[in-house]
Amino acid sequence: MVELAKKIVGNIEEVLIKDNFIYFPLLFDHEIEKEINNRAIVKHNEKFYIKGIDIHSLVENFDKIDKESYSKIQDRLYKKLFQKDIPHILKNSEYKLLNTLMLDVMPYFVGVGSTFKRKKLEREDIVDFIEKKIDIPKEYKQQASKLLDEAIYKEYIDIIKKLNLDSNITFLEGIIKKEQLENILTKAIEIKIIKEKKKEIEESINLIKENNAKHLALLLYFKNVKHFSIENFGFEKEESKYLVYVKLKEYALQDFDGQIYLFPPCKVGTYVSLTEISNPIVIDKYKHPFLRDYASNQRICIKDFEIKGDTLGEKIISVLEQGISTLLYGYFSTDFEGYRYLNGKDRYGPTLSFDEYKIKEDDPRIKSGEIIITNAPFIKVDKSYYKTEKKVPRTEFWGPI
Amino acid sequence: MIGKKEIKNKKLEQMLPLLLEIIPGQAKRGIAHLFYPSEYQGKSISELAKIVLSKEVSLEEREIMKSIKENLEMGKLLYNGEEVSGDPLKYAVEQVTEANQKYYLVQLRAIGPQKGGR
Repeated sequence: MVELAKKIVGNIEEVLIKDNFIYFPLLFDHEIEKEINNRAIVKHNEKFYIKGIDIHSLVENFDKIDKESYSKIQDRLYKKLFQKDIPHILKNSEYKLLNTLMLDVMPYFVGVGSTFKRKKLEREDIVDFIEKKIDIPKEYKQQASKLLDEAIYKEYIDIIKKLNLDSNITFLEGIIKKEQLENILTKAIEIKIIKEKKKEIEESINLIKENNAKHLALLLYFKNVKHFSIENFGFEKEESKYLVYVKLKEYALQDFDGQIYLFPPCKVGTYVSLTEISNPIVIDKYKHPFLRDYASNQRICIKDFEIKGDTLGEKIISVLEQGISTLLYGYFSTDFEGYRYLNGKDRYGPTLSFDEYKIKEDDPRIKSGEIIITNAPFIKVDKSYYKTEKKVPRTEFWGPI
Repeated sequence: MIGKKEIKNKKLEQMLPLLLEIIPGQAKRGIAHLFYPSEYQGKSISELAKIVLSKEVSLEEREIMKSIKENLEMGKLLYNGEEVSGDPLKYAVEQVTEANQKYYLVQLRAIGPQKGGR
């Protein structure tokens, strides 16, 4: 069985190992002698070899280079070492992201705790609040209780301890055959797998220590549901990212000539992972002066957009706030740079009409305060605006904002 | 928050403490300050807001205060979508604490409009 080695060295039967690198044999060529001083080519036992792959780098990244072989080695190893599957809660990265959404972002947009009690919101307050709002299935609570018993990890920790993984891998130098290379690589990849599993178990134990059963049950629940929402806040899982959103109620915008337009509810969202946050989008099929088309998942056109904040939670909040603020209040300025005016006059995008959104100034929903004209405090209304405003030539700009 | 009409119908004549909360953007919590009747009577809502915005805040509240001030650089203090001015009691809603003590609550939003466009 030389599957792994064959994938790396092809049909070559022997390679040279030197300074943790695999060197491949070169056919003799007089020109090569001139290159001997070049450290990429070495002479060993009258044969020439060229520097190839860093073994440490190959092993470290093997899960990405050859997923299939990596999984085979992993399965074989787990079967050999462990009697049953290793329990774990969440990968650390997923856990961190879910905790950020639950403990930092959600409480910003959702009213947790009373107005009069000004105390700082603790983790327990937020967990209790969510627990009261949603019905977490029993299975997650049972799973959480089981996980709180550290003993379930003991067996695995004992096995891993016996494997003595503390020393670094060193590779014997010299000429080796393909079969030997197979053994060396497999052994090194096995050590990597076990080290990672050890880290995962340690992280799981730490997670258990710092959370109570309710919190664990919530994390397990969040991990398994594709969609979660509470009041006006929610998130959807999309592969390795989460689409985090805030629901906006109906609102009205006033045009520069005073005409009022009633906009339907929508969800403003952003795609987030631990390392990336997208620009804000409107998830629903929607049209607005700051959206290019009448379509779903459109990026909101924001002037001087900037992701602010130090923590991931603050950054997510900043993106959502800017998206919402643009939709609700951003249509006010005379140096207006959106795609189109509310009266349908286009600037950069396709012509879209907002006529069906028109409502009268004395609409009972406006009068009662049920619907707010959100940009009213900021816009200067001039009844003759469209009669006197200089016509802006339509440009061919269609690129991203 | 309570509607404007409802407030107008209320007679806020009792001498109750007034809790003024200034909330940034779409947040649910802001910076609050409790004023006793002698502290708010005769003062405008803008004067009270200035007091709230100049108070010393806890470490947890610093980020909220920062957002409020950033929003107010180009923005305004709004109540139910309208800019506030004058008598603070125009915006007050009577509330009761868990200890059954009455107070007036005034919640204002600090909104800084984000310009749309490139």
